[in-house]
Amino acid sequence: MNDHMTNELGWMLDEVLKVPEARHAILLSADGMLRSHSQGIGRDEAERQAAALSGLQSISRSTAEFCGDEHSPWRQTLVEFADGYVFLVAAGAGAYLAVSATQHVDMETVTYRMQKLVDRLGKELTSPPREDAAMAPGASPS
Amino acid sequence: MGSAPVSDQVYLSDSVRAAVKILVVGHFAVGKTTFVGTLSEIRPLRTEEIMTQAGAHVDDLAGSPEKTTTTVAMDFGRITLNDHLVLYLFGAPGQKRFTRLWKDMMYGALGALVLADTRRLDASFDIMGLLEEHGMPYAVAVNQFEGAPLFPEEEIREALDLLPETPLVTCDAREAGSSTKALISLVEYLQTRTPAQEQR
Repeated sequence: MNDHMTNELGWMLDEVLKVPEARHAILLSADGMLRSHSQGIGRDEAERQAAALSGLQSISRSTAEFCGDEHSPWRQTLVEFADGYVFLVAAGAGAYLAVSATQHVDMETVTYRMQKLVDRLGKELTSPPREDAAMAPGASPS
Repeated sequence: MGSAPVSDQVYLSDSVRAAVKILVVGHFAVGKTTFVGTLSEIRPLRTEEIMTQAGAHVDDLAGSPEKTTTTVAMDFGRITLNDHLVLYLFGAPGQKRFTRLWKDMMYGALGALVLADTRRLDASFDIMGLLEEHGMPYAVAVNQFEGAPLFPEEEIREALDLLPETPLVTCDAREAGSSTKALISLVEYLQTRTPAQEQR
């Protein structure tokens, strides 16, 4: 059974949702496959969001040059809606962590908790590149 | 663990043992979004935007004048082929200005299905070239548009300069049966190339 066919890390993602006003959390691999999701979001929806978030990361990274240096490592993408936010951060090599929240969330607290989660899980969160596949997109775990 | 996946209407069988990422590619307006939408058993992800005048010079609408939207990021859908195999379909945008996203999308994919249109076969060369450059195996499916010329398989093979082993099939992207067959031809081809390949 593949890692992403199970949801073993789901409970860890639920931890990050203890931040008031946080909604859902998703862990995805750089190739857009769902690794894990928090309890409140269905699997089908989580898979669709994982694919979208991988595209978001790729497109975000392609704006590095606009920011100054084409090779500057990507760290985070923040999306704001009228009623909430989506945070996307690197979670080790080849993995990303995304959290959604209402518009009332304390943004600093969320990003802090997300970093804590990434740190704590360390190796457990990484999706090592397939040996037979091309190089992972330039996600820098920084 | 306590967090059994919350299932929507669609049940993903516990017997599924392999999840395979497949790209659906092809030139502008060849029917990629339709193809993924036809096959996906879950509500597909779509990132369509209304086309603007700014793209009129670079995005050729010959053959599909009724087209008003185009995919700007990606399509995504899931199809369970049998009890053991689920395919995750990632549709990449057709225009050249999205090549970079395209390259990222290849990461982790086992193969690609190239959709082609007999009215614009030459437009598929760039796509196939990019795949070959990255060592991504592919099969070709002609999306048979109404009114598009029908050619014998041999002529299409020749026009596309396909290797003898590259699968070539015809499908209607609006119709599940032939579209599923197109995917199966790709999967079977991948299996002959990489017997019992480990998934991640």
